[in-house]
Amino acid sequence: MLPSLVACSRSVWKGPYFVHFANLKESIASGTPIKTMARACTIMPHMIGARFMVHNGKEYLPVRVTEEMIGRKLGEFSHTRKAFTYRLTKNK
Amino acid sequence: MLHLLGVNLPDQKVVSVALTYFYGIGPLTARKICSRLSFHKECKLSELTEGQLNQLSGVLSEMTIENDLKRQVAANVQHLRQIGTYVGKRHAMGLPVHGQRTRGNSVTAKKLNGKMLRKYSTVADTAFTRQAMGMFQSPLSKHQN
Repeated sequence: MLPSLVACSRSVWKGPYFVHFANLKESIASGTPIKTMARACTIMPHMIGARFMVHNGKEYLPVRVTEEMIGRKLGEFSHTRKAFTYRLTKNK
Repeated sequence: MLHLLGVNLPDQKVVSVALTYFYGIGPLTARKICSRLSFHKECKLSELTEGQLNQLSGVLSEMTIENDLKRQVAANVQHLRQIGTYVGKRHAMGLPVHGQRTRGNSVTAKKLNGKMLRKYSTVADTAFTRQAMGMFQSPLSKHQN
């Protein structure tokens, strides 16, 4: 499976969309998470090992970047909707 | 019934239709194979000669069909689940993946999605348990460290 072809809705000649994070090297070295709202940022090879806190509209969810995630966006790992749970209401 | 590459193909059917009985071959691919091997459009499977059948199995063994394809698809879904994407979570929960509504109408998704992930389940496979499993799995994937 070619990870780089996954997010291929953007035309190839433009190059992938990604954000420059100033404290990226620091995050990889020390493990301090980078808080970000850039969900559309494509995960690039130089980001492997970094820890992000990705915004989902309300909170920041932790995402640890691994090699298999390259080519996907940060937002894919930070779900935006709460999972449906059914609690029976005891209204009589 | 002709036995070809692990699949029983109905003899009396037209070749391009009989080929669709393979998992991974639909009407377009079947027609392409027939034109590539110069089979007549209305030719039946039983009318093919030995040599032509050998050619056919040669072409088919080059393609990924049947178990190879199933393994590939399962591996893709597993991969998505492993890295913890939204799509992987939807497969785990047995819910629609492409943003459809779940208030009503998600019958096929509930039936088919994430089948490859349920292989080693020891729990009874009902919609409730599937949701429960999905619930347990998604928080875990957040703390993938």
